[in-house]
Amino acid sequence: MHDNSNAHYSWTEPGRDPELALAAQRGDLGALFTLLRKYRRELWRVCFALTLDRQRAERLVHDTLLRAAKNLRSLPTGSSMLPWLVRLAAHLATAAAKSGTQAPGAEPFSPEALGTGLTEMERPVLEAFAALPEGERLLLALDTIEHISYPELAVIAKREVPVIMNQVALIRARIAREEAA
Amino acid sequence: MRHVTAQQLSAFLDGALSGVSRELVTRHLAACADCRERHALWHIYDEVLQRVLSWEPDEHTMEQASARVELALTAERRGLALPEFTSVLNPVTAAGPSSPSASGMFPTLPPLTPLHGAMHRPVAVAPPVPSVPATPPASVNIHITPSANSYPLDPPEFAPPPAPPAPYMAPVAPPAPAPPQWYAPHPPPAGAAPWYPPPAPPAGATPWYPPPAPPAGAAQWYAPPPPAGYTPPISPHEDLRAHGVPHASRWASTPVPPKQSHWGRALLIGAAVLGVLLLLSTFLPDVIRIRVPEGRDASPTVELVHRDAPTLAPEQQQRLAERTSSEPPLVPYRALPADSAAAQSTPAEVPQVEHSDSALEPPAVVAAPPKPAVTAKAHAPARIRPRVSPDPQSEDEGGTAAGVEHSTTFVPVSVKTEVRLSSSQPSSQASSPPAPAADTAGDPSLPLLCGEVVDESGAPIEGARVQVMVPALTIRTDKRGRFCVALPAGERTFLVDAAGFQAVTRGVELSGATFETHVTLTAAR
Repeated sequence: MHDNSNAHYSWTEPGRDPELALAAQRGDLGALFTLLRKYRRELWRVCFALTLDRQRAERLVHDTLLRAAKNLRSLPTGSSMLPWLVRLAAHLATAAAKSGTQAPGAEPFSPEALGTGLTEMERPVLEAFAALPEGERLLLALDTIEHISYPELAVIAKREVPVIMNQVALIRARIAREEAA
Repeated sequence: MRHVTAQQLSAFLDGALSGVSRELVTRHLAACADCRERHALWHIYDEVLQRVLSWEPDEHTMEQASARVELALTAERRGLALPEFTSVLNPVTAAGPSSPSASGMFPTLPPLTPLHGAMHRPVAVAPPVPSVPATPPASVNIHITPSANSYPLDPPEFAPPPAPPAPYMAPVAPPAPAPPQWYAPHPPPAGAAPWYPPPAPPAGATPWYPPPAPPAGAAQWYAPPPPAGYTPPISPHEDLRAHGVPHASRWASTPVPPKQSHWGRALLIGAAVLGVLLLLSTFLPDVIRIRVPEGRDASPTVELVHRDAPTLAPEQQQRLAERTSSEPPLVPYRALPADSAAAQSTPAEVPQVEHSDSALEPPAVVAAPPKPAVTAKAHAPARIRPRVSPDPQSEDEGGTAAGVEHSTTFVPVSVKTEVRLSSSQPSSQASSPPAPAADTAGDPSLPLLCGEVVDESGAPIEGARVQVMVPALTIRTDKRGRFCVALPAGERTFLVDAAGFQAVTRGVELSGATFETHVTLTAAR
């Protein structure tokens, strides 16, 4: 069973985000910087799960924060910034993968880029994970790494809870199938 | 045996099941080796992903990356050129063997270190193989062989169940010769208190299933597993055809409704709603007249008037046509005095709603200045004209009891709302954009480092790269050889290099608003 010790806070709880976002939209750079720094740890982990490459994750974090600062007006009113930020990162990662604007010479999955060694058993699992589309990769990462509950996943992915449950199950089954193959 | 579905297993892994659903999956996994192995594999996948992907840089690197974003946003706010992306994970390396970074002058970023506890496990060394109990309990069938992998196949919850307390081991084996068949419940999980001992089966129950209901107040109730070959009874409300029972329609006590698609149901509902609306539209009135008589005790009366109703008197039709004012009347207009017609057609009576900036202040209703008289417009859109200040001068002469009661006429033909927004502040302030609450554009803590890069002859070098070490960012000179970047105040070191030139390193003490520097590059040998 999951160790839910990491899930000590909610990803969808707005907190002071609407207030900071309003101040940032009015030109308060301090509020904007506070907002962008607030979720940087989560954003780094999400971007690393999306790219499976530390260098590309760093670039994705940078681009996501810049894009978020420029499009702060599209942040849903009264909501937490983190789900919006995660969706933005996934969107940018998908766009980069489609347009081929990744780092030159970067392979779809390079175990060396992970920055950690892999055992013989871990490698096919990571390869199967890397073969998933960015959206599914994000969903499984949020589920298995961040231990986010299904209702919160539904809020982040903007879908219904049963759909999320079904999708996570299918992703797991797909990884198992590809790992076995 | 029906295996657990992927959805059940996934939800079970995530701890999203509870109550009966969780109990069912737990029981099935205890009995089915295939599903247990699948569950263990999925658990291993989660462990692998968690170990490998739970990475985040250390605090120093993360701080540098945040500072890089903030400087880029500050530069954009000030209208400066955006700095190039420079990775803080890799230290900046300058070209050429005489590079200062190569000689160790520039600080090297600390190596990446994992943060989470799961990441601290050694990678190459496999974790110890889990110990498998030599004699698993007889009630749980375990056939998992520990592999050479570094993860146990059985997650903790599927380790052999803990041995129950000694007094409760007795139900595992048939306790007494009578009754001959007795299905012992599962041993309770650790910490289950109170453990309700199963009641004695009824005499002669062979086999004895389903279990009796738990007594009132029993905190934990563990039902015994079904005996082999037991099939649950078919509910009379179920579709018996699903159970393969022939001629089920005669057996089912409840008729099975035919399945209907959602689209068909939505289409039927939509058609019904449309029909009701069409039916109601014929009864909608053309005019809703509310008469407000004077006096405290008098109550207003509401009158629904159908324009083509035969009961409408000619005078009423006349007044109706005058008040609606937009559509041609059913009877010819009566000649009205000029001032009366102007009073009817001018929008001076229309209340203008002013919205104040304060959310707590209610909108004020003010009277708009009178406009020149307009003659009756045949094709003007009809408007709702609530008469908030009836003027006896403008009241038509044919009005019922003019001066005695005031009537308000609503014409539900079309509605045009005019809302004029105005601010309580002076117009010059209202038209200007809101001032930033705290803009750092003039912040002395972020002074500008500007400079010019030239060659030995004094010609500007375009595209020269200026790399600031902390915070890590890179900018390039423009065609005039100039660069400008906002940096935190304090000592800053930057490296200037260009193709065909030797790199130069400068250290500056940034303070005040702007720091100007001049860099001359010498050609590379």
